[in-house]
Amino acid sequence: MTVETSQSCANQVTNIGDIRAAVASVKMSGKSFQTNLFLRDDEIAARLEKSGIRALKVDGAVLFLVREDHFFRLYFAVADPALLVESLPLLNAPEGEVIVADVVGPKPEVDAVAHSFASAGFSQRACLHRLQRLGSESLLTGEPASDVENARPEDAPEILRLLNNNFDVYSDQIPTLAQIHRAIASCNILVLREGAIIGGLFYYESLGLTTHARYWLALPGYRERAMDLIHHYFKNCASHRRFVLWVHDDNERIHRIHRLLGYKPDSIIDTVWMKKG
Amino acid sequence: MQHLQSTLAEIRPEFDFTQSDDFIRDGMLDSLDIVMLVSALDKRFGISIAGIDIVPENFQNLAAIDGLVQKYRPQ
Repeated sequence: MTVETSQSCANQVTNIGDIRAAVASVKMSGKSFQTNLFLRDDEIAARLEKSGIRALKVDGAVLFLVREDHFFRLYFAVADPALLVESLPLLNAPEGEVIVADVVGPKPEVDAVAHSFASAGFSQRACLHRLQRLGSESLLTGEPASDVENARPEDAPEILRLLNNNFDVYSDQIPTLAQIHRAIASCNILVLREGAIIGGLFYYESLGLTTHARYWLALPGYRERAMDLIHHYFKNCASHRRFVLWVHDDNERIHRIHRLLGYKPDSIIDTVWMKKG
Repeated sequence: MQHLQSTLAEIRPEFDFTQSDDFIRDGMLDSLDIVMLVSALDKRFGISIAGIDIVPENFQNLAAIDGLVQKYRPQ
C-alpha cells in the first residue's frame, strides 16, 4: 500500500520504500526541509514488522505514527517548518493514548518548530542536551573497583524493570527486552551486583570510534559506587575517540558530574513533545 | 574534495576523515550527523539532495559523498 494523501486519517504503510519516497517528495517541494526521522532502514523495518506505521501526507508534509509499548511516536518530514502548524492538528491520538515526538537538532532549528507543537496541543515533556568528550584519557585514575561486572542474560528482565522504574518512558527511549539481550551479549551493560540484587547499571553502545552512554543508574544504598561503573566504562572504551551522552537540561547535578568527567555540551538538543488523546 | 573535508570538519571536527574508508562503521558519522551533513552540503553546493539518497552507503567515505554531490551539481 502506498502512502496516500489524506486530510482526515493516517494510512497504514507496509514498506520502507513508500516511507523514503514520501520523505523524498516532501524534500523536493521546499527549501527549508526539516525532519526528525533519523531511523536506519533496519530500524524502520523492525517497527513495520512489530506494530506497523501509519502515515498522513498533506502538501509539503508527511507525518508517521509508530506504535511503541506505552504510546505512539510521531516522526515528521516537512518542506518548511511552518507547515507543521497546518499538519500537526490533523493528527489526533485515540482517547487515552499518548503521542510523543522528539525534535532533535541545533537549537535554532528545534526552537523554530516549538510553537507548532504548542499550538497543536502538545506540551513539552523534556529537553535534553547532547554532551560529548574527546580522547580516551580517563580523568579517573587507578584501577576501577573489581565488583563491577558484565550483566548476564538472566538479568535482562530486571534491567528492563529498573529502566522502566527509574527513567522516563516518554523521553528516555527505553530499550526493548530484545535490545537489552543484544547489549548483554555485546558486554555493553555493566552492573553492581549484591547477591540477587542489581544495585546499579551502566548501559552503553559503541560503534567504531564513538561510544554512547545510554543509562547510568545507582539505586539508594549503591550511590557511592556509581563512579565505579563509569570508571569501568572508560576503561572498557579506552580506544574510543568520541564519548557521547544525553542529559536532561534540568538535572544540574548530573550536568556537573559530567562536566567534571570532561564532557561538554555540543550544539544539539532534543525537545520531547507530548499530547494526550 | 577539499570543500567536502571542510564541510565534514564543521560537523565532526574531532575526526580525520581522510583516514577512514567507512565513516559509519568507524563511528565517525551517525544518522543525525548525516542529516546535518545533507543540510550543510545543500547550502554549500546549492543543491537539494533527495530523501531517497539519504542512505548510509552514500556517506560511507569521501568518494561516496563526492559522488552524491556530483550527481546533483549542474554539469
